[in-house]
Order: sequence, then structure tokens, then C-alpha cells
Amino acid sequence: LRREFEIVASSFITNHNSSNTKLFFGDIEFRESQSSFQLFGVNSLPHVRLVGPTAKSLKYDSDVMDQGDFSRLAESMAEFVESRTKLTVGPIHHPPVLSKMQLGLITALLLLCLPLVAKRIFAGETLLHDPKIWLSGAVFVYFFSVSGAMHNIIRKMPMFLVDRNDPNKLVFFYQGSGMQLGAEGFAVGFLYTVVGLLLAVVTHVLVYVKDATAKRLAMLFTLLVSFWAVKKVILLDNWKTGYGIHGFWPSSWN
Amino acid sequence: MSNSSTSDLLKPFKLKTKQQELLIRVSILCLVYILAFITRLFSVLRYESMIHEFDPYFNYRTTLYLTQHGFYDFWNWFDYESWYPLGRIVGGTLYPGLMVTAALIYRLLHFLRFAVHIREVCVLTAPFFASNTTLVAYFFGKEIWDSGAGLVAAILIAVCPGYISRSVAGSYDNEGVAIFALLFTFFLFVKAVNKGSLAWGLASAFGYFYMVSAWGGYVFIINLIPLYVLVLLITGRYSMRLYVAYNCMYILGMLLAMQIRFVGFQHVQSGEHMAAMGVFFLMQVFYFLDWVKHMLSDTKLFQEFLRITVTCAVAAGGIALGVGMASGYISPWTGRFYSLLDPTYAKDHIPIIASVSEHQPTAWSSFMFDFHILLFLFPAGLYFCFKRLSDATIFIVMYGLTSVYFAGVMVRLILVATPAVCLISAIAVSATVKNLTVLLRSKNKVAQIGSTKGTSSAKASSKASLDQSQPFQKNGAMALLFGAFYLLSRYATHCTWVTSEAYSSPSIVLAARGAHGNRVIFDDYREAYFWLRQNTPPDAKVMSWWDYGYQITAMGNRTVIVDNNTWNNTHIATVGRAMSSYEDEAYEIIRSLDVDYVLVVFGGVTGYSSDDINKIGGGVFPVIKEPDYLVNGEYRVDKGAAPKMLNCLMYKLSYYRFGEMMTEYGKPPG
Repeated sequence: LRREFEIVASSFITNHNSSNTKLFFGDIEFRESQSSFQLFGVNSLPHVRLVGPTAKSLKYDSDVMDQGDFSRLAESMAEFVESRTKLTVGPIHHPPVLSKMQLGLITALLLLCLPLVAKRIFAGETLLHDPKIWLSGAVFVYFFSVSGAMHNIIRKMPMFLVDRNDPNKLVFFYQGSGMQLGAEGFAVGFLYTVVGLLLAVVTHVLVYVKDATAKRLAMLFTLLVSFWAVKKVILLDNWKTGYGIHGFWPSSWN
Repeated sequence: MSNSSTSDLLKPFKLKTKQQELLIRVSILCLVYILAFITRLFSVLRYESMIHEFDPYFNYRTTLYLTQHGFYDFWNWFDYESWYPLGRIVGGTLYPGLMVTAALIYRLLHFLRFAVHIREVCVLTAPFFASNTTLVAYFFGKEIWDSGAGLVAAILIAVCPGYISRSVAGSYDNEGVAIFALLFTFFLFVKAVNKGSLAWGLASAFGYFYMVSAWGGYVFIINLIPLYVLVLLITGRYSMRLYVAYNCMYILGMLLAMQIRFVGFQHVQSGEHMAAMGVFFLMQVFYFLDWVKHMLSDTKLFQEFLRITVTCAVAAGGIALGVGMASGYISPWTGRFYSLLDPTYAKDHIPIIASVSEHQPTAWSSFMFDFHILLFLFPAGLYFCFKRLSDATIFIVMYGLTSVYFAGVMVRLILVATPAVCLISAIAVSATVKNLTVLLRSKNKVAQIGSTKGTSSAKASSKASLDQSQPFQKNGAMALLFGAFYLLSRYATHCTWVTSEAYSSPSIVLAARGAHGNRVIFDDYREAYFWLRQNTPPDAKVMSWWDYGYQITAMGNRTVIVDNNTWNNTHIATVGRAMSSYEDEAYEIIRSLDVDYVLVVFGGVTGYSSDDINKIGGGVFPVIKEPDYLVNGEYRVDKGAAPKMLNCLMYKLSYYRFGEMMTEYGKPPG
């Protein structure tokens, strides 16, 4: 959040060419200035506040920005400033992801190693040719997508939440369809992958094992684990979404 | 005696094994075809045969125009009845595949003297094409693995909720036809690569043309196929078949795709299509190198030549791309597709794209809802594919992985991932069931072999051990088969429930439970539109929020100011401003737009919620300030509401004579 604040401040300065000195941006560090915190009456972090020109008391006459407005970061802070002070911040200048220097360096490196890589590809010796690498890559992509990890990344969901009623308990699973927590996604993705891979292992790897009892035990283990995992996922899904999935029988049978 | 006579009678009916197999396969396919069609008919049975939602009404109206005026007028149609006074160039801003298909089916039925109304054809187009998709899935599965996998794939895709969501009867939208075109194009291309024949390559080019005409998602095809070719080249699977197939498909497909005006010259100008061109040139380089290798006999010289050529080629390609992008001839990736590569881009830079509900990232429960047990079978199928690597299995693995990844980024793209997931899971199911049934049926044969080959001791001992573990193996196989059967039946139940409850609502007719548990149907929308159609002059102009634009033009047959195409944000903001201002200001705006009627959807009695009108209006006209309408930060509509809210046009129209209405029995009115 602090970086976003800096972006807003620097954009304001560049847009107004340092001529407009009506608005100042500042930040306070807790360890250095605890008394200032008390002056403002700050209870929780992050905290953004605007003190107007007519404010007499720092604690009561200043406008606090809502926690909920932080979602759009720099843009929402600029809007907050504009709506309370009638001063425009102007367009926000985001720093580019990779600086020009880094970009130039990366392109130079790529061009240098290009002929070497091409030759090895033609010879057929690179790491890329081993099917197992591709297989593990494929399973990873599957795990990543299906567990909803993308959802967690985009929405920046936490790993777990603290239970609102009982602050000592942690909530790992979110009840309600459409949203999920971090740990939840990984747990479910793991269950899926385990079942699928066990099936594959049983069909191909188990044939090479010589001992009959070992084979039987492995089969039994696979059956039990798969059954438990599938049941768990389905129970979890029913609890989460609250749907009662049932078949349709003809009404004349009731 | 009687035995021989009955067997004589049955002799002409006794089939050889191959014929039996064919009979079983054909009957299964017929049943699956019918199943795919009837499972999508829930809303037709519950309500009636009508077009759902908002976008399909535009498609319906254009199809109507096409059947009435012919193709030339349709292709050059300038629609002056929407976006008054700007109008809309319809011919150049839509994908005509769906409309042309429906019009052709209509013409065919009329030719056979079935006098059906065009609306019935439109409503049932999507289920019809879903049934065709199951057939294509069968052939595709047969191409990748074997006919057993094809049958399972057809069954799975017939009921998969991910596909049903956009292809129920009444959902007359591009996706219904596009998924069929997608799978068909992929099937034809894989067949062309397997056979190396020019005819199949030509067919795949035409399949691609159909896909381009049907849906904007063709960008997925034009990027997946070059990626697939690149992977084949890197893993050393270059062959003449690949060369023939890809060249034919790319060149012909590109030329055909440029016939669609909406696409235009994007295949040579847009950054999203450049991958295909790059791979095309790379293929030529590979062919050239292959030919040189064939001509030269000295390997050392060839290696040198190889290195120089590849470096030059890649450098030349890089320079060309750089020049193209710098000079602006090649446009960069548009925001819609760029947000797939960098999913956090849309949230920070383009809030409009990030706010559409279909573009949200997917939680795992959505995957579970749309795929059920197919998710478990997917990694197993991946493993089977890797065990039997061929050009075709590499393709399906790539399609599966890319589409599942994109489905994780955007909920809407679960639809594109559905065929891949069904196919890969079908491979897993088919291979497992095949192994199990082979085990079940192998008991007698093994016993025979064990007795005749008693000479070789090693073989005998191994066969003996097999005999010993036979009973457990058979039981185990039976148990597993029952388990598989149970799983599949649970899948079918889940799919039917999901289709019935979640995906079959027409959203233009609403249903609810009344006080005594009876079903109450709200047909207010259609009644309102018909009132407009019958009681207003034919050249009346109607102003409403853009959600209802398509429906008003299609059903009410009147000119509207803004509709769902949302191509002009300022025009929409004008309407928003009019709705949120005081009555006198609003009257000025409305007279300047020449409006005769204003349509407002009001949910005060039923609890119906909607859009943020003043946010969008305030985005263009700073006169509209959202805090003016709020009291303590929330919206209120009773006496304690902000004065601006109480006096704005929308409020006045909604609550006109509300005081005379009874809300609940026994409570005071209004």
C-alpha cells in the first residue's frame, strides 16, 4: 500500500510541475513517532487520512479513507483525494515492470545463447526431450488451474482466516460458492491429483512388481485412498455450495 | 430337435463379431445423439419455446432479417432502429456463422415442406449442434486412441454441464455453434496431420473458416495450432505430413477468414495472429534444411550450415516483428486477450473488463460444479497419453492443458475446456475399463495355455502363479468395474440435476414460489414489450437502460437509444445522466434525443436488483456525483433518502402511484 501511496504522490507532483503547493503527502512510522499516532487516534493499519485546511482537531476533523476503498490502490486513493479536496491528482504514472536497462540486458543474453540452444535442439539431446519432464509439467499446470490458484492470486486471498466468533480458531475452508481461501485450494487440488495419479500408477507401475501380496496390498491401498479422497471432495463441495444434488424419479413412483 | 429348428430360424439374424460390434456402436451413438438433444429441453418443457436472456434476441432479430430480405441485404445492413440517432453497421460488426446456419436449416426445412417458424429453428439450433458435437467427439476419440474411447467421449460430452450451460434450448448464442466448429476444426487438423493428405488439410481450412465466422474465440485455434506445431518441431517430430497439413490449413484458412468483414485483415495485422505466421515461416526453414540435408552427404558441413541458417532465420524474424510493431502496422494484443496472459493486468488497468461477472477467476467449486468426476480422471488420462505418445495425443494434451489453465483465469472459458477434459477423461475411463474387462474374460484362455505349454518350466510357473491369484484378480476386477459404473452413474445424476436447476432458466420469464407453495410466473417483460408494440406509434423512440435494448428492438419492434452492444460509452452515459437528473434537466436531455417513451424496470415488489447507473453517468458527465444520492454512505428510497434521489427521474418513474399499491395482504399500502 505504501508503494501505491508513493505512486500517487509522485504523480501529483509531476502532473502539477511542483507549482501547486496546496496538498502535501506524508507518512508516519509507528516506532519513530508513537505520539503522533495517538494524536490522530489511529487504531489499525493500514490507515489513510486527509486533514482539511479548516480542521481544528487532528483526531476528529479529518477524513478517514475506508478500508474497503483500498481495492483499486492508487486509483482509489486519487479519487478519495479528488472527492474531498476538489484538487485533481491527474493521470497516475505507474513505473514499468522491467526498467529499460534490465530489458536490454535480457535481450542481449537471449540473442547470445540462441545459436547454442538451436543446435542442441536439433541434435535431440536437451532436457526437453524427456517425456517425464513434460508429464510433471502437465500435472503441475493441471493442479494449478483446477485448485483455483489463479483465483487466489488475482484476488489476493489469504491462506486462512481467523474465525470471527472465536479468535483462537482458524478457518481454512470458505463456505459459499464462488470464493475460496488459499489453503482450501491447495488441499482440494492435492486430493484430485492423488486420485488421478494413483489410477495411472496402478495400471502401469504395479505390473512390474513381482511379489503377489505386495501387489494386492498396493491395489487395496489405492482403492481405499481413492474412495476416501473422492468422498471427501464431494462432501466438501456439498457443504460449500449447499446444493442438494439428487436424481429425478418419476412422480408416479412416490 | 427343437434346438436345431430355433437355431435355423435365428441363423439369418446371427451376426459375426465385427457386425455385432458395429451394431452396438451405432446404437450407442444414436442413443447418445438423442440424449444430448433431450437433456437440453428442460426450459422448453417447463415454460415454452422462447429465446432466453438478452444477447440471443439480437441474433434472433438478425436471423429474421436474413430470412426475410436475403443474404445481400443482410450483409450490407445498416440498422437505424438501434442507437438512435447514430445507427449501427450490422453487417460489419457481427459474426454471421450462427445466423447463416439457422437460416440454412430453415430453408432446408421449408424445402422439405415443413412449415416451421424461424423462432423454433433458432431455439433448437443449439441442442441440434450439441448432438452433432457428440458425433465429432466420437470420431476424434477414435482418431486419438480407439473407438472405445470415442464412445465414452461422446457420452461424457453429451451431458457435461460446462457445455450445457451455453447450449440449452433457447440460448441462441454464438457459443452453441462455435464449440461444434472448434472441435470439428481440431478433429480435421489432427486427421490431416495423421494422414498427411491434402484433402483433409483442405477440409480443416474450411472448418477453420466456419469457426471464424461463428465466434471471436477463433483466436484460441489460431494460437493453439501453431503452438502445437512448434512443440512437434522442438521434440523432433517434424515430418512431411505435418508440413502439408499446416501449410494448407494456414494459408487457405487465413484467406477464407479474411472474407468475414468483422475480422478483416487481422490475420496479417494483429499481434494476436502473428504466432501463426511465425511458425509458418519456421516450417519453411525446416523444410529447406531437410532438403539440404538430403542433398548434402557431409554431416559436418551440414551442422555448420544448420547453425548459420537457424541464427539468420530467427534474427530476420525478430527484426521483422520488431519493425512491424514499432511502425504500428502490427497492433499489440488487445486488453481482452492480454488479460489471459497476465491475469492481474485487467484488475489494475481496465476496470470495465475486470467487472464483468463472466470474466472473474474461477474457484474450485465452479470446476467441480461443471465437471464433477471428470476432474479426477483428467490426470490419469494425461498419464495414459504420455505413455502412448503420438502426434495426436500430444495435441490433445496441449489442448487440455492450455484450456484448463485459461479456464482457471476466467469462468467463461470453462466452456472451451469442456471438450478437452471430456476427451482426456474418456481415454482414462476407456483404457481402465478395457484392462479390467480383459482380466475378467481372460480366465479360460490362460488355463488352456498353462496346460499346453507345460514343457517350458519358467512359463509354467509364471502361469501357475497367475492361476493362483486368479480368483482375487477376478473379484478385484469386478469390484473395480462396479466402482467405475457407480461413479459414472453419479456423474450422470449430477449433470442432470445441474442442468435442471442451474442452467435452464430463461431469465426473461421469472418464476417464484407463492404464499401457498404454488408456482407464480412473472411474464412482465414480454407483456411490457408487447404493450409497446401494440400501443405506440411505429416510429416511437424508447429510452431505457442498455440491458433491455436488444429485447425492445426484437420484441417491441421500436427504435431504442442504447442497447447491449455498448460500443459508445458517451451515448450510454447520456442516458445515465438523464435517468439520474431532476425532471426538468432530464426533460431537456430527452427532448434533444427525440425520445417518446421511457422504459424502467422496477423491482420494488419482487426484490429485483440491477446496475450502477449514476456511476456510469458520472464517469462522463461530472454533473452527476454519486455522493449526492447517498445518505450516510448507502442508498435509501424512503422518506429519509437524499433529496437528489427523491427527485431524480428514475425514482419518480419507479414510484409513480406506488402509494396505491398493496404490498402484502393486511399491511398498509406503499
